[in-house]
Amino acid sequence: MQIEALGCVGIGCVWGWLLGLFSRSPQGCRINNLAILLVGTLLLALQTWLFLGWREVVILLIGVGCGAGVHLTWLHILRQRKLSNYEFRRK
Amino acid sequence: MPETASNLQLAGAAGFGALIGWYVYYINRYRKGSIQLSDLVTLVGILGGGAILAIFPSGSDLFGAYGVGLFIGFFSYFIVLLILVRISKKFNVDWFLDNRRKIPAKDEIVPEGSGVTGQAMIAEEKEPNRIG
Repeated sequence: MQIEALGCVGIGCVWGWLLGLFSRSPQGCRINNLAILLVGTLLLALQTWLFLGWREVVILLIGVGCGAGVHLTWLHILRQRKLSNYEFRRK
Repeated sequence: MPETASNLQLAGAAGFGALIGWYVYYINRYRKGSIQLSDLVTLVGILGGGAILAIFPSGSDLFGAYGVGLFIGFFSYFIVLLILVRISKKFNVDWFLDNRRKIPAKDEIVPEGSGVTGQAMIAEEKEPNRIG
């Protein structure tokens, strides 16, 4: 049971990271992308609910949130760092 | 299907997951253009679809081991990428933002069409449906 929950967290984190990756496509952040990603998340959650249960859906969504959060925070930090470097060079 | 899986079975499921996780990151790094619904259906299928549940039944330890392996494989790819960028003299972390790299030396070439990867972030002109 414990390893199953760990597996759900793992799958959730991978999906969350992919959400972060996809929401920043080569064309930038687009509503179309976000809508497709939302549908994907719902599909994954529905599948988890059908095959596993509510508890696993919650665990999965926590994993998704962590994965996406870490990815977007990391990109944000990189971008801030890049901007500050750019400002420094301009001066 | 026995109730409890042996260690070898668990290792096999985790290894299979790791392989798939690594490949998922690889495929998405080289994806061209924006995400399509078909890409998404494929990904959801890979992550926890019917085919995976047929191999590793839901509620079993094998499915859990597969998920853990998937996590390890996926993030191993990213960590290897970080290490390679760190030790390379031609790249730095800005590559993750806009693919920037140093110009190859005079005796180096980058064959046309090789190593073209998607960008994590990019700053472009404002477009009507763009929100960020």
